[in-house]
Amino acid sequence: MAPVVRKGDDTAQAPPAVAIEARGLLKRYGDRTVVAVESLQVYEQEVLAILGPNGAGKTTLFRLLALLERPDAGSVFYYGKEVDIHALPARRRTAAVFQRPLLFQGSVEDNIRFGLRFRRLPRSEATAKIRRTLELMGITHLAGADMRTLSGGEMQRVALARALALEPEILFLDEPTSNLDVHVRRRFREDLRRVVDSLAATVVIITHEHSEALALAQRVAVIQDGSVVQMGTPEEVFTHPQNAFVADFTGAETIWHGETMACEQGLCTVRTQAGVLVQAVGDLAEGQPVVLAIRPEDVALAPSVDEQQPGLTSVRNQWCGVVDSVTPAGPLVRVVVRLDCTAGARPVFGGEGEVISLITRASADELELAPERRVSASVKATALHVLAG
Amino acid sequence: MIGSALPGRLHCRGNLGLGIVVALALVLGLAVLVTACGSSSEASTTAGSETTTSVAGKTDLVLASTTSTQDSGLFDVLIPAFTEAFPKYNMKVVAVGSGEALKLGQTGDADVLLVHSPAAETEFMTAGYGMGRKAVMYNDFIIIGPPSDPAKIKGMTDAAAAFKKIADSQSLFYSRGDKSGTNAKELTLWKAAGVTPSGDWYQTTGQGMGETLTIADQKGGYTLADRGTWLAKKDSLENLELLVEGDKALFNQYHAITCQAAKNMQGANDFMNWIVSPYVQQNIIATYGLDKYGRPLFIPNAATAQ
Amino acid sequence: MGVFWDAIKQAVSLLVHGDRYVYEVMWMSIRVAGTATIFGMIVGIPIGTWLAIRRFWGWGAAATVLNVGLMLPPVVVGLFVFLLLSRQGPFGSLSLLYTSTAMIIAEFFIAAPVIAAITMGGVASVPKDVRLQAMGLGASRWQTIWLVLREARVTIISGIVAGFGAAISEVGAVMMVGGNLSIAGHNQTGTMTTATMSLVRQGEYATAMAFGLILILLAFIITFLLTRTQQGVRRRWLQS
Repeated sequence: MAPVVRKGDDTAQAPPAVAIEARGLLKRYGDRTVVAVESLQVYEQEVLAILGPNGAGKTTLFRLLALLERPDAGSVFYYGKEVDIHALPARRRTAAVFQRPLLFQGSVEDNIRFGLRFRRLPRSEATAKIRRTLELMGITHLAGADMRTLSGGEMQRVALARALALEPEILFLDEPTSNLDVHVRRRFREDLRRVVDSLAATVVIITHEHSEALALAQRVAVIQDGSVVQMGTPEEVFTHPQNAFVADFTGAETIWHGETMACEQGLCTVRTQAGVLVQAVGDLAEGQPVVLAIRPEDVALAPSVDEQQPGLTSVRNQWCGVVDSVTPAGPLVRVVVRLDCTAGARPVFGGEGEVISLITRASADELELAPERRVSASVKATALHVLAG
Repeated sequence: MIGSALPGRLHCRGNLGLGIVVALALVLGLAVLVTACGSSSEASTTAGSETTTSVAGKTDLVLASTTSTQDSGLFDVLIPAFTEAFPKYNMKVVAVGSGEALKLGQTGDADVLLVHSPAAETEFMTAGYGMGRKAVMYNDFIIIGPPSDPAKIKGMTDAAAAFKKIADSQSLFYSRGDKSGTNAKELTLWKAAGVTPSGDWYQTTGQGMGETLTIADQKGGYTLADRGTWLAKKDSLENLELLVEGDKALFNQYHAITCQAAKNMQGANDFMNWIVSPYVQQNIIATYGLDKYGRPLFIPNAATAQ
Repeated sequence: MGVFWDAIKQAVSLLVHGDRYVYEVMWMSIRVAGTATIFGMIVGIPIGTWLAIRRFWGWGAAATVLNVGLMLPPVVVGLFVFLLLSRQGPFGSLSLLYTSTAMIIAEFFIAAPVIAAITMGGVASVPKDVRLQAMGLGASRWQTIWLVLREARVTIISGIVAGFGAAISEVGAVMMVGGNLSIAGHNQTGTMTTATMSLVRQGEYATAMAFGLILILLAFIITFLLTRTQQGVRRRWLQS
C-alpha cells in the first residue's frame, strides 16, 4: 500500500524505502498478550497513525518501535538493519514526545536543551539548534519564559520542540493532544501538520481519536487487542472498515447485526436483530449473517413520514422513530433516534434499535428536534457499510 | 522492605524545629537523671534501711565480681546455693574487671564484692569505702603460651624469670590491661623481673580473660591466665599450652568485701558470712571443678588466711 | 550525679588537651567506618539500582537476600567474619584477625546491605517515565542510570549516612574481629565503641565519656549535613 509522498516528490514511481519494519513482535505482561504484530511497515517520510482504543496495546507498540522496551519475541528493523533497545545510534536517529512529557521547572530553553545534553554537543552548537527549532515552532518569543507560566498547549509545543531540536529522522508522538483542552487541540494539530510538512522526517503518531488520525496521517493502522486489524489510507479505513470494531472505532457509530433475507441486482434486504428492514448494496447470500455500519453524518432526518407511503426519492431506507436525545457537538448536533415503527413489531434491543445522526444546528432548530418528537431517519443504500459478521 | 527511609524535604524552619526537639529531649533526659541521682544519694545516707523490693517481695542484692570468676563457672553453683539458703534475696551478679568492681562498690552500685586484686583492695579499705573484708579462697595463675614456646619457658618454676625470658626474646605477649586482678598480678611479675614491657611484642587487649585467651590462641602469643578460666576454656583452644605453674608468686587470693555505700547492707553481710562458713567452704568451693576437671578450681582458705 | 558530671568534665579536658590515645582511637573509628562505607557504596549502590530497575529470573530471591542482610544482627556478621578469618577458618593463613582490615570487612558487611536496600527503595520510587522519556530523547543506558541516580540522590545519600552510622556504632562484631588491641598506650585496633566498653569495665569513665561525647557530636554533624542536602535545590518535574 503505497503512501502519498509529500512535497511533490517526483520519485512517486519508485517503491518507497521502509524506515521502520516490525516482524513477529510479541510482548506479554504475565499471561496477557499485550502486543502481537506479525508485520508492520512504516515508509520513509510518511506520517503513520496507530489508532486504537485505550488498552489496545498502542503505547506498548509505540515503545517497542521506539526501542524503549524489549519485545518477548520478534524484531524491529530501522532502514533494513535489525535494531534493539541497546542500539544507541539507532535510537539517536529518533525522538519521542510522550503523552505526559517530562518537563521541568526552568526556562523553555533549558527544557529544549535537555535532550541535546545527552549528545554532548558543544554549547554553541546546541544553542544554534535550539534557536532554529524555536523559529520552526514559532515560539521564539517564549525562549526565556519560565515553564510554570505556560499554558498546556504551549507546554506541549515545548515538548515537541525538545524532540525536534534533536533533528530526528523518525519522530514518535504518543497521544500528542490527549491532554490538551479540546479547543487547543485543533491549533496544535495545525502547528504539528505545518512542522511535519516542512521536515523530511518519518512520523509515527499514536492516538485513540479517529479525527486526529484523519487530520494528520497519510496511513492508518488500526489496533485491536494488540494486533493490527486494518491498514490503509484514512479514507480507505474509514469508508471501508474491515470489521465491526474498525467501523465503530473510526466513527461509524450505528452498528447493527442482522440476517440477509434476499439480494437482487446488487441490492440486498437485511432484517436486523431489532426487526428493522434495511436495504444495502452488497453481494450476499440468503440467510447470511451480516453486520451493518452507518456513519452519523450519513443519516438525514426529516419530519415524521408515513413509512408505508414514503414518497418517491432515491433514498432506499426511511425509518420512523422517536428522538431519544439531542446533544450539541460544537457547531453540529448529535441526535439519537429510537426506531419504533418496525414491521413485525419486534422488541427494541438497546443500540440495535437506535440510529445515530449528525446534523447541523440550523437543521436541528428548523426541525424543532427535542426528545419524544417523532422523526423519520433516512440512509442511502450506498452509504451503508456492509461488513462480515 | 525499606522504601524512602527519610521524610521528605525539611525546610529551614524544619531545621530549627529539629534543633528545638533535640534540645527538649536533652533537657528532659537531664531532668530525669538529676531526680534519679537525687533519690539515690538520699538512700546512701540511710544505708541499709532503704532497700528496693522487687521480685515478689524479695530484696535485691548486688554482687560485683570479676569476669575470670564468672568464666570459671563458679557462680553457676554458688548463687543457686545462696538463694536456697537465703530465699528473701534476689541475687544479681555483675561480672566486670576488678577495677570497675571496686568502683561499683565505691558508688554503692554493688552491695558486696568478690575480687582478687589485693593492692587495689587495700587502697579501697583505707579510703573507707569498705565495711568488712574477709578472705574466701585462692586459686593460682599460670603462664600460657603457644606449643612452639619461642621463649623456651616450659617447665620453669620461677614466674618472674619466665617473664624476663619472654621480654628478652621479644615474644608476643598479650596483657589484659584492664585493671583486673589478673592484670595487677601480671604487672607485679614484670616488676619482679625488672622489666618494663614495651614494644610491638607486648600488646594490650583491654578485655576479659576469655577474650584475651582467644586472641592469644589465634595469634600464638603468651599470656597470664587464672587457672579457673584456663580449665574451662582449654578444650576450645588448640594453639595454647600450660607452660609455667606452681610459683608462690602466682598465688591469687580472693576476698569478699562489704561496701560502705551498699543499699542492702544486711544482704551484703549475710553473703560474706555465708561464703566463709565452713559448710560452703568445704562442700561447695572445695569441690567445684572436681568432677569436671579432676581437680578443684579454687582452694578455700577463709579459716587459714588473714 | 557526681560520677556523671565528673566524667563529662574530665572527658572535655581530655579532648581539649588532645589526649593522644583518644584521638588515635577516634581516627581509627572514623577510618574503619569510612572505608567500609566507601566500599559499601561501591558495591551497594549498583546492586540497589540494578534490583530497582531490572527484573530477571531470580529477582525475588536476590531481593530477599538483600533484605535479610538488612535484618541480620551485626553480631552475627561479626561471628561469621571471625570464623572466616580465624586460624581454623578458610582465610586463616592471611592472618587478618585483629587487624583494622578485619574490622573494615565486618563493618562493610554491616553497611553495604543498608546502603543497597535504601538505594533500591529510592531508585524504585523514581517514576519509570523519567527513564523512558530520557531514552526517548537519545540518552544512553549510562546517561539514563545517572539521571535516575540524580533523581534519587537525596534518598541515596541518606542511605550512605545510615550505612556509616551502622558501621561506626557497631560494638560486638568489631570487638570480635578487632580485639581492641593497643601497644604501649598507642591504639592498634581499638575503636571508639570497643574502647568504651573496655574502659567502662575498668571503671575509666572519663575516657569512655570522651568517646561518648565525640560520637554524639559526630551524630549531630552528620544529621545537620544530611538535612542540608535534603533542602538542596531539586529538579521539579511539571505536570503538563
